[in-house]
Amino acid sequence: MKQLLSWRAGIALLVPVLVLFVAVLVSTGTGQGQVSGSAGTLVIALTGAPPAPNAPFTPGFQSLAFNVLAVKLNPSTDPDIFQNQGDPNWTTIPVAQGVGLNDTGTVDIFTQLGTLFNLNPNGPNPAGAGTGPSELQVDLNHIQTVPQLFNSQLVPATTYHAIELVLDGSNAGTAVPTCLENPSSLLEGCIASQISLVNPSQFLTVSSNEGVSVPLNGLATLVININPVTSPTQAFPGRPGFSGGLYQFSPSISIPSAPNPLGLVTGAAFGASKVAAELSGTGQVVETTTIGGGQYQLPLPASPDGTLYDLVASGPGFAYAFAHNVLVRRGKVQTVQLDAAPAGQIALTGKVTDACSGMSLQGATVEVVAPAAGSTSDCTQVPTPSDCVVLASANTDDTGTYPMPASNFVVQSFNQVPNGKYTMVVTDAGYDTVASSMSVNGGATCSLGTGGLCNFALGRSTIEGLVTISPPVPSPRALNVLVTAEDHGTHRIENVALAMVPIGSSAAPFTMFVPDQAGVASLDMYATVSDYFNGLPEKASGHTIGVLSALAPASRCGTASPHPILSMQCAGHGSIMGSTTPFDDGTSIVLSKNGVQLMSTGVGPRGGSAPGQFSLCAPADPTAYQLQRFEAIPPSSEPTPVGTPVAQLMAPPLQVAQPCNSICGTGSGQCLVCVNNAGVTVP
Amino acid sequence: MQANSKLNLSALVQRGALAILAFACAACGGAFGTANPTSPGQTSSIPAQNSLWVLGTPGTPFQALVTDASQSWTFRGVIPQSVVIINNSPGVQMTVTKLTNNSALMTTELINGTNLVAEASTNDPFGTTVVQSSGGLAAVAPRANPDIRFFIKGPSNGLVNGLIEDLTLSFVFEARSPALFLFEHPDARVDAVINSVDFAGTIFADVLSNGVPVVESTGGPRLLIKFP
Repeated sequence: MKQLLSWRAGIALLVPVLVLFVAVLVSTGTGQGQVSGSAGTLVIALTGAPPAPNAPFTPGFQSLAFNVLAVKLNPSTDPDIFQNQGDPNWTTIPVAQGVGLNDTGTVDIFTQLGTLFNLNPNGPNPAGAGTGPSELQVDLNHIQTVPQLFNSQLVPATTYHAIELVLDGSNAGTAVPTCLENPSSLLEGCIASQISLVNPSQFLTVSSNEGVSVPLNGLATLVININPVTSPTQAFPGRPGFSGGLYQFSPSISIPSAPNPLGLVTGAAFGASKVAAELSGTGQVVETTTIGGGQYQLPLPASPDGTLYDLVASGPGFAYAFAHNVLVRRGKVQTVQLDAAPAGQIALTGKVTDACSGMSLQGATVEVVAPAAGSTSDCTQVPTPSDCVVLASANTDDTGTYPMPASNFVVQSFNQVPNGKYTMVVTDAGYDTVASSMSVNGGATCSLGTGGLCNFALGRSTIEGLVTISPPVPSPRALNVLVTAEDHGTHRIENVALAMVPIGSSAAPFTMFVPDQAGVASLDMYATVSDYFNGLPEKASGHTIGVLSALAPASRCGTASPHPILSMQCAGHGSIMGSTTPFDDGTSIVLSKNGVQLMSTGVGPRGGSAPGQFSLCAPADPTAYQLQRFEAIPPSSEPTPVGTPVAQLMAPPLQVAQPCNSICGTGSGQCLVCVNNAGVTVP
Repeated sequence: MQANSKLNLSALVQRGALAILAFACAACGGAFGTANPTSPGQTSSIPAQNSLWVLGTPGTPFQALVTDASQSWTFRGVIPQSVVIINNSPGVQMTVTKLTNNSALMTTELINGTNLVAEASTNDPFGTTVVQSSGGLAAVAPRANPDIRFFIKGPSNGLVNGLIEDLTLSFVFEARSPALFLFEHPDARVDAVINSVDFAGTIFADVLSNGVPVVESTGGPRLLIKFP
């Protein structure tokens, strides 16, 4: 007799998911009455900034992420309402669902938000069921320049005065500090520490006299600002008592003063059923909305200098209507018309394979691209010119077939491609990019497709090499090494490979597919060790980063020779903090070693807690790094170097005696404690 | 006040429908309506199972290495995707790398039973996250051989449940597609029954043996898959 086992997580999912879908059915079936009778749409975004570095107390933060479960709203003006979480007037907006339902007038931000595919729609207390608190990790470093959309939902049309941000009560977030200014504390930096809350309540609250008014059948926005440290509760983040211990914060929330960090784009879109907003020239969808009555509204996050978007309208039986480089400014409303002409459509499908082995390629990206109005760019160039607009995109499945299946709830954009002339761009990590002319007229033909059809065989070559670690990997666990190949002189990564160095060993082979000679002229390579601190994997490596510059790839289906060797030694963590000027939203600082770009970081925005400042973690390599300012103009374009690079020699880490923990061992028996390098100026 | 009444009515309708659906599921013979001749409920409990989710900006491709104490698997996928190891050995670690040069978000979550035990996110180009169960693992285990996988790739975001089995063990599951099931140490033949819970559309499910699709099935709302 068989033994029946059950996947308990799956069983527990049933209740919350059914609630979700029943709710959906109700709101769809009777939704029109519900919308017109009592509700409006609320779009919520989050912003914030890490605490300003303040030597010797406050380090910079490589990452400062809070785990957000939900936003709750109540129309009450009673300040005690926060003590009554059972009040029936609370409206809970959880992390965005992955269902992508598009009711008329509803903004679907499924395509942008983090921790999508949320299987637990009931917020922090799923009645004992569910799969644990699926949540959105909000990194304040990442949202300090451009706010992050959280979710949108139909809510009762009223004015809300009480607002709550609900954090994960068991794990409020994670902080990765730079090295501390005062190394005598012997606290390791550049490692992840869990966040504990001064006030252990998971509910961050704010009362608003003015309130947030959600108009009947209308659209409102709510931006919540996360302050990680609240005065006078706490002057600075509380440091842990030991390396890797809890970092203490006193977060609070506020409603930012004008201007609203979101801008609004609206207009007519005749013939469209959906309008998508993409970061300009990237195809990276930020938000979509379904529309009715020929009108659309898109509240979009904007940086202090404004953010450029591409807008694409599509609908059954109509051609695409799109606009390029729409500058969205904070607190501003602008009108963009996206009326489309009738057109026949086809369902576009095809297959992507490896030109060398014939194997199907899973996870390849296929995009339908066209030049912006007035542009003379040839979109069949590689890389794709920045004034080409991505009109639709899809991915291949396990058989190499695109698009992935649609559902009754999630429409696959490749199922409705209008007649016309386009460029089809096919990309996959490690392969040559193909940009083919495509003609759609009742069927599709692609100039570079196999047999003229829109099936593609992507070329590639192979690099086989070796990674070495010094000293040999100690017990109790093997170390993984991530090998990266990027276009020479850039940080445009082509592919990565993982190599495992066993315990007691000092070397491991790796094999990586990269574009062939026709796809890329030469490659830079670097290798980083995935080190552990106290048994936990860390993002920042304690080993030096092995680099190799200007490696020539082989011809199609060939293997590069000679085989590269990338060497890494235990050096300990280090960090760099500094500033640059001038700066704007498109400014970044790039760290290189021997001419190979290793990492980049943005700088604090104007009006933020640390304008023009940056911080990053890097191994305390005895070889000097180079730091250089890059500018992307406009911010979404490819960054280019500006100014003169500066050399940065890292201060060596402190060595302390056992017992202690260390990011890696030098063989001396002592632990390494990282040291910060502050006050670096990058012109 | 009228608005609130309508909302309350809506909530009542929702709860009623939920109760009906829950009853319907419970009345289907256990295992969420999956016909099962093995008397569910007569077997002993097992430790809470691990599931892994790759979430974030939809359409972002990734590659992953998943290992437990006994076997490991590598695969590519597209966000969002859930991953389940069937017949798993203790301990699990998942290393996931984004395969795009943009700032798209990728979050990986490790769920044990109903608890979120590890979570990591990245916005970096080709950024990597690592999540692991408590204590981690000493090394990546040998690659699964035979490498038998079930990949339920559609309907997009559809809720499915069912049963996957070999000649000696059977496993009830519930997941949202796309979902990848990695069958550890399968005993000879494998097969599966997959049900659409939400009738989100046609079910698309493949069985892969050592990287090669050997069964490609389409249908629904109930789909039977037999290893050839």
